[in-house]
Amino acid sequence: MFDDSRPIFLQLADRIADDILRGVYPEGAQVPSTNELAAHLRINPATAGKALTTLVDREILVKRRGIGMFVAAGAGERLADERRQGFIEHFIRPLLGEARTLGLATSDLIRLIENEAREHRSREDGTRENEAKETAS
Amino acid sequence: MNRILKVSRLHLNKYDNVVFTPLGIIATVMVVSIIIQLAIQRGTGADVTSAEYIDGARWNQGIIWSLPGFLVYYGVQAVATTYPFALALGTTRRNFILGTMLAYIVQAAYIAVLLVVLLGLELVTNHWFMGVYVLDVHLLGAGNAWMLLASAFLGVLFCLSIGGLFAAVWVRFGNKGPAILGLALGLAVALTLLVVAPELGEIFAGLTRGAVALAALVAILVALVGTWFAMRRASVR
Amino acid sequence: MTAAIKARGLTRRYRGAPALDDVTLDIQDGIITGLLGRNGAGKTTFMSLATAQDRPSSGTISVHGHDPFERAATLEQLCFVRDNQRYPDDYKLKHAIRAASFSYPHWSQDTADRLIEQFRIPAKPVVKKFSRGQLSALGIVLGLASRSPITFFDEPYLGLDATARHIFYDELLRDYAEHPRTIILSTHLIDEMDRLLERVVILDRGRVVRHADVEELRGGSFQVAGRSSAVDEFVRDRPTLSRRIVGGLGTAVVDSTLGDEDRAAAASLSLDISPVSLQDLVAAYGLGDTADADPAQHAQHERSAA
Repeated sequence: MFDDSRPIFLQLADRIADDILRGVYPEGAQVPSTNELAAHLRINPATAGKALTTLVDREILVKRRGIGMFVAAGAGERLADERRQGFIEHFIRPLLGEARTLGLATSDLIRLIENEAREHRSREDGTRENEAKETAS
Repeated sequence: MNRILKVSRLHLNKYDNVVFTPLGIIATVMVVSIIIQLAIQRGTGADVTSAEYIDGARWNQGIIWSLPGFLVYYGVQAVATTYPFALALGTTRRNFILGTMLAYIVQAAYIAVLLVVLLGLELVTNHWFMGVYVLDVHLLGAGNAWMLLASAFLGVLFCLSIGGLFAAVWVRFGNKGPAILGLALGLAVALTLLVVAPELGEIFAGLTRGAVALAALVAILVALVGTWFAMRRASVR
Repeated sequence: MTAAIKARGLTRRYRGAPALDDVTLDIQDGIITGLLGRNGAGKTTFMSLATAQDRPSSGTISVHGHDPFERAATLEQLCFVRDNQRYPDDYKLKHAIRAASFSYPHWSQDTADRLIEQFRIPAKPVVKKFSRGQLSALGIVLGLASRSPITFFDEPYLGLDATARHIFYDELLRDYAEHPRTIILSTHLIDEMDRLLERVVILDRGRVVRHADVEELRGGSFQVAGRSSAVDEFVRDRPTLSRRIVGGLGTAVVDSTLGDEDRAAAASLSLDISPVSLQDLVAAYGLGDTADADPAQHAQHERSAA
């Protein structure tokens, strides 16, 4: 669930951000309270509180006194922006590094990506066809 | 005061020990006394109303010797095993000592009153309908309720305090403590006897109840003071 | 930051050997602090001194601003049930609970009743005959139900099976969330319990070697492993907590956050990098390899609270 490489509050903040991006918590929805998170994840309430506070600082969550924490308006956009910036650092750079280790030229890399994307699409279509056949019969 | 009472409650919390065990011991003594005295009556065919018989029966010391063992044990465990728990519950040593002394006094009063009530019953039932003498004995005042009350109260308190003192010494100094204390007390008694040896006979002859009571009182006070000093700097082990 | 407990130069010697050696630290009010370290590091001694069950050889300790020794008002606010707590002869469960209920000013009978059921503590046998697990469970009940403003737990999990331990963690968090108080907890099960803690004090041979927020420590160090010569090369200019060499292979725990240059350097030396759990960190301190490290860096490790 949580690993030892980073503070838990950061990992938890990332998980909640993930949930918001994936639509588990739409904009305006209330997120679990500090105590609920702490009890559910068996962590110190202060840690859970810090995760939520971090998200408030990043304007992902907004605190309504006496009621709780809610997903801020435009949080989805903000998170997607952050993720897009992180995409280059966390995915593209390692990809290029690995390609270099394997001796792949950039053009080879691009071709591999296009092939994979095409296959992935046809796999998805195939699955949808099978599902349609099953529901029809 | 409230905090001192909390400690007393801690001791008296175990009702069984406090209320029923002494009762049980006394009941046992009574049963045994009845059996023995009945056997004697049957065996010797004595006349239970004769002054001779009464005087003899009044030398029954069962009550006196049955209780001290339990009382000393109770006094010891009150300090030895209750002290660590009392500290865990957040008491100061001073309050513990005072609370324990109060518990001792309550316990002594309870037993003293219990014995007086039983004496009353013994007298009212004309010695348990069988001419059996358990409480109406010479060493406890021969039927005098006030004597019984005072003797029992001081006697019980003495046993409890001595037990407490030894336990306190053990808590403070470890296993060697009580052994050394016992040795020291033994030496003190031996020395005193040696010193007064020539006048021993006179002293025993002149020994009034008052003198014994006073001596007991002094011993109790010394034991309590000793307990205080031992516990003041004791740590939990 | 208000301090619940302040120790200044606290020392406790037993027959010449120091159980606690010149300890200066503040325990923060209202949070869960873990006392970590090997057996004999001084964790229980610290708790005994804080509750005035024992007296220091030198130095001072104050609780809420006062010396706790013989101070009823302070002692009433504390709860310390030891791991080898003795109970009065012939006491049964109900006696211990009753005693606690009239001794602790903030006692919650509801909490006690609920916990007794959860832990299945038996009512019939005398406490003297309790198993190790039952004794621990009783200690936990007293500690949690006391709602004492400063509550100590000394290795509270001894003898408890995994299910019971998790009941304890859940109940601890639940009660702490609803009724915040200062909790000090000593433990060896750091892997299981590190998430419950907010701050930790790591003790080794009677001295404080680390005192920090758990979150600060998490990710604050990393481990490298590979050829011992490569390890030596890597740690030459880095603050090292411990180093283990077995023939041609070695590992080392480095006391700094993993940065990109560290990753690059490790990659170039063909060293594996892995995270360091709090358990590993405490173990590293416990091995006492800090003697290997640069003396100037050694001083870094003895930080006390701000």
